[in-house]
Amino acid sequence: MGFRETLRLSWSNIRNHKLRNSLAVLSVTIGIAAVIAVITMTTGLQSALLNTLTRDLLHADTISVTVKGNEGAFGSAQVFSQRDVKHLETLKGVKAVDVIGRVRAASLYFEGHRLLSPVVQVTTDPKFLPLDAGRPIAGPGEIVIGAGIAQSICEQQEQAAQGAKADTAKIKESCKRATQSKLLADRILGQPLRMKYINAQKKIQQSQLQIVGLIKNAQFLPHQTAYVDPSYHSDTEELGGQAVPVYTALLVKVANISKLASVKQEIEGYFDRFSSDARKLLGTGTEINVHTLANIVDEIKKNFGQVTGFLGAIAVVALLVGMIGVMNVMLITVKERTREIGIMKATGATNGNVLQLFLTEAVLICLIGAFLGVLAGMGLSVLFIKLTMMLFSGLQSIPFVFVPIWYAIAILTGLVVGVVSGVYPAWSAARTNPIKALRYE
Amino acid sequence: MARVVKAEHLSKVYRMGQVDVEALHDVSLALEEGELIAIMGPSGSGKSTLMHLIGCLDQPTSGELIVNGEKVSQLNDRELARLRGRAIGFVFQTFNLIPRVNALTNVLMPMGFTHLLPPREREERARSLLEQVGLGSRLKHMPSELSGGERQRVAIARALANDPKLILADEPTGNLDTKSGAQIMELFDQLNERGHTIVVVTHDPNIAQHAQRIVHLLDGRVQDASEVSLGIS
Repeated sequence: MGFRETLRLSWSNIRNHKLRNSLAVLSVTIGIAAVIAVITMTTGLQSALLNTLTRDLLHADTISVTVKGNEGAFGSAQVFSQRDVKHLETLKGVKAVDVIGRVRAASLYFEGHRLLSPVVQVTTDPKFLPLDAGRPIAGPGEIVIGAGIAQSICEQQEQAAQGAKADTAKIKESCKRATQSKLLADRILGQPLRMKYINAQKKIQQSQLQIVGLIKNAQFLPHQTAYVDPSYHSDTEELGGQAVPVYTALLVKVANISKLASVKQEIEGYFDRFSSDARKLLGTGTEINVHTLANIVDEIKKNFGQVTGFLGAIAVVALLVGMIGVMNVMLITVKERTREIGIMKATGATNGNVLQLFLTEAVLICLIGAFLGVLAGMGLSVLFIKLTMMLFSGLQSIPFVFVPIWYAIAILTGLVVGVVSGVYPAWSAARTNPIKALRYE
Repeated sequence: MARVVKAEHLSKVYRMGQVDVEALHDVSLALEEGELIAIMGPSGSGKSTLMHLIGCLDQPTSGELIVNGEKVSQLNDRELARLRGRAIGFVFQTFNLIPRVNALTNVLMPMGFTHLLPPREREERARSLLEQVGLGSRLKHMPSELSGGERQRVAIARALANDPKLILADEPTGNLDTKSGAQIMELFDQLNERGHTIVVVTHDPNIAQHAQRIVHLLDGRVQDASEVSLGIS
């Protein structure tokens, strides 16, 4: 029997029992929709989380290059030159290279009092620092400070306000608490700081700065660091007979987060050679660390993989139930059409013809179910995302992600489910004894 | 004349629980091309069993059966289906049309199994067959929209779909009124005149009168030995 005739006969039967077959289609639809919804939602959540954590907070697209034993606040050993930067910019997959440097011998003063142990740095990428409040530095005369410095300023303000009878321990405690709240920002932003440092002419110089931002209070960011405009940077080294500016660290941004590993390898290769200025300055003894968050990104993806797997397993149970539903309907159909099977066999149908007919019917039901399931799954995930955003206000928006490969897999799954659920009923139909079938009432 | 069916010492034993029931016992029979014969006998005499064997729906327990030149006992399921499709057309007492497709599609179905004609020519043939049985204006009617006599004529058109040598009719008039029954038998006569070999199983002597030869069965044995020997000669 030709494919078109088989299809026509199968379709005429499906149409003939609209309610029953619609329910069978629905059972597959629910299963496939569950799977698609789970995958769409977890993919969306993962992408949202990766965006928040890695791009904004952890800078997962950034590879940091530092000198070993000097990573702390990106250290004080200044060995990376502009020539190194230029070279890294030519590497494949690198989007941009920024530097972090240290202002030479910088100390900070608030209302005439020296603040303890702050490190004043510069960066050519003002957006590198996630801020809790305020804005990034826009030019000379501005400074963003870490939580530790903010706390010191807060303590000084309190001391000044309370005078001699102040309880130092209490003030320390309240200011520490304040760094965890937004209240501190109001007191600190706009305050003046004085910076004493050594300029390019190797002279001690003083500058008035205004605090414009507070660096996010996070575990991995040094609390005692402040950032100013790159023009305050003045450290140089003698290289090739002339003094060139040198920096403590490089920040290499990759165009594609999945290329982290290969770019990292290339950077390591470059700094292993004496053609790089950093290696020339350091000699062979000291290692240069090239650090990526590839591990963290992988870990996050792995964890989401597990969540998807777990939820997916539940969804697959729904699909399994759907499959049993289709099988049940097919068994009823075969039983009901026993006589018809007898007629077909008497008029020349082989077992294969009969098998094909019923299998086609099951596959047709499941394919329709799968197709509708994909649509329903997409709808469900849109709904779920809206609901989540409504329930937990202030969340970063969860994107609706198209997962075409999964749609294809879903349709393919429909096909497989059709075959699996149809094969036994179709097989039992095929081996029906034609004489008994013709007598069947 | 070519021999369409040759049966020698056929017997068929069914196992019903613990006991064996012999439905046919040592039946020998030959059918020449162009014959119209009737198989008669009371219920339980084995006429249906004989027809199922000749129709290749079942295999004999012993004896030899040749249908359209092929030894039935040597064929597998697939080859039997092929033989049924190409050499045999069935007409049943209860018509046995597929209820959810129209007359034309019912007639088309057996052609789909045999692939004797290219798909484009099949519909043309189905139409002309239905016209032959007088249903040219009822092509698109569903079986439920047709009378008993009309349904049986669709069934006959379907039996002719692959132009088989042999038509097997099991009580073809059993569910019809006298007038429709007569029309059906008239149709069989016409087909026989055109060279089709026809076997009609019946217990109605009036129907059997159309046959050139009558084979009487009783308790699984052929009753009238003279008829049988005449057939074999």
